[in-house]
Amino acid sequence: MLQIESLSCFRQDRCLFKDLNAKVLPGQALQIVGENGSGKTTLFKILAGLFEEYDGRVITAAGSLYLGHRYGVNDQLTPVENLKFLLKLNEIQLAPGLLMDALARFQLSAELDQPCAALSEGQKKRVALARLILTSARIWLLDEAFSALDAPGRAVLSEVCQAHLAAGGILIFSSHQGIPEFAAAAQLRLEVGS
Amino acid sequence: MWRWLHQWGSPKFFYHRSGALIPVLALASGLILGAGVFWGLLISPADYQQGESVRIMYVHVPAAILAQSSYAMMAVMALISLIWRLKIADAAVQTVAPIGACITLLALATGSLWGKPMWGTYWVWDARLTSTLILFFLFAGVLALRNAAGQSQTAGRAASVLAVIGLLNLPIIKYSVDWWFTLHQPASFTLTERPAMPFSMWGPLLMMVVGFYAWFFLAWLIRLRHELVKREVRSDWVQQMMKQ
Amino acid sequence: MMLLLRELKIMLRSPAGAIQSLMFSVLVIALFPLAITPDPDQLEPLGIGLIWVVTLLSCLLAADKSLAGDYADGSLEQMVLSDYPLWWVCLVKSMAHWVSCALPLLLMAPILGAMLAMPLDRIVWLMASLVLGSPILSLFCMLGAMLTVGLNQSSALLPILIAPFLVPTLILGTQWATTGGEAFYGYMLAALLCLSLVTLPFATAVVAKIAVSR
Repeated sequence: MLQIESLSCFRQDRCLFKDLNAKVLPGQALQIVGENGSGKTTLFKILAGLFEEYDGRVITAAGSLYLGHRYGVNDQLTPVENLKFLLKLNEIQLAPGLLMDALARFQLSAELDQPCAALSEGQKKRVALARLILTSARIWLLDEAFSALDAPGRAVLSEVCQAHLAAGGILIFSSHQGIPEFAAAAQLRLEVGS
Repeated sequence: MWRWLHQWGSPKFFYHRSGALIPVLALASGLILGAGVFWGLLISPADYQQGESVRIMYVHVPAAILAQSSYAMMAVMALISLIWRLKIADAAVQTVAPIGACITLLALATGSLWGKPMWGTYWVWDARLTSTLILFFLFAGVLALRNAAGQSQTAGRAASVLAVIGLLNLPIIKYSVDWWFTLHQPASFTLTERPAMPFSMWGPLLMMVVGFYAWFFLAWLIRLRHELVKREVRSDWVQQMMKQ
Repeated sequence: MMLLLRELKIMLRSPAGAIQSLMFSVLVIALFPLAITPDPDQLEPLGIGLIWVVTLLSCLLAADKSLAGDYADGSLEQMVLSDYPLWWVCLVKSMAHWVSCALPLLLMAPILGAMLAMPLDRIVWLMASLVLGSPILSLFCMLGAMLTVGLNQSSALLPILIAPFLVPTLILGTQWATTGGEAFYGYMLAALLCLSLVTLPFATAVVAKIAVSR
């Protein structure tokens, strides 16, 4: 369960948002909607625990996984090594076979031996997203996760997210493009200068 | 008592109440510094060893004392701003850093000028001057970090952490520079042997120290009030004040 | 442990940084005889100090590179959010910096010493002082890197911030080597190392939280 109470945030003398309230129960998704510069990324960072200068309360009942604009894929390591590291950060250690299956689900089976510098931006993003399949975090915070992906990639991500919701997880995401599977999700709108 | 202290943490309260201090400090520093300058630079006796040039001491010693204590004050303010997240403490750190850096420069310059008649060269690597030089770099570091990181709150926090680490390291740095100097001390330096100063010398010295502190707090207070108005320019109390 | 392996793997696969700082140090040491004098009697007393200063400089210059990469690709954020204690992450990064920057210099010290006409026993004491002292340099450099990561001129800013804190290590290390191992300096240096090991990772962790919230 994730709850936001009267959340306000000022950054560099600008009011990003004021008195936000929301409650997300297990199995529900919440979409953060707003234009560029409206404070979406800051809100995600607050929910993830990376940013602490805010008024109000954020109550989370479970561990969360945060994927921001930069997703933690190092260019010198191979996709498998990157995935292994990202999972180990949350104390998850799995057999390489499972890692490769997860990567294959995101259509990454051919390039697994090369350092990620040889991959495109979209492919690197899919390496980071493969972590979603294997993580045990109950709350997912995906900031612009659907961007930079092609249509098959978005389809896989939607499937993975829906499976997560069906299993009782919570999804909070933002996306400039509409995602048809989540068109019915609750929305939290951020206005610039509200 | 905590509540009384807590009130001073609000920029509005601080601004309005501290206004009364300014004329007091201005008068005090003007009078004391004036008297100290007159007494020390004109009336007090010349040193039997160094002649008239000992009078630089009346500027150098207060500046050196103030340089160190202003760093300590800055670091304490930094610690307060980190622990209690008081914006006024952060403004205090930001405003005192340039003052402290200038005082340290003054101490270095007067120390160097004093060195010429005493040791024959404009710069000598003795323990105190070297420590003062390092202190200047510590101030410069805090200033540089604040400058580079911009005006945001996180910039202030990073610079505050640096200031606190600087304070914790300062004793270690001073000790090591002292050891380094005593090892390499040429035999002709006898800085440790000074005869006891007569009242006609430590009197004006004390006055100059007090006067320097009074001026320091005056300058800091003026800058702090200015900075508070700048930071809170959109709040109600500032808008009201500006309309008057 | 896996964190350390990751850092080392990254470093081994792009060793350009480590090689560059090594080349830089050798070059600077070579410049001194050219600029001062090739006379071994004049160079030899300067040797310990020069090599220490060069080690200090190359540690400072190399410090922000690895951290800049992690900040840019988002790994730093993920490390802050991870279940590992943040001070451990910072300690591992300092260790990785030491392996990539100070260790090659330490191994190169005999050659550098020979270039400055130092006798073997002094070179041995120089290496001993570097063994105790260079980890302290790495710990401080990592603190400085975390303070300046993501800023515009971070590589120029870092030396200004951290150099004053390196003065005690420099003084103690050079004194210990110059006096041929007088116990007092050795103990002081070891004490400084213990103090740094115990406090600096925590300080760096505090700064890391500030850095990722920019």
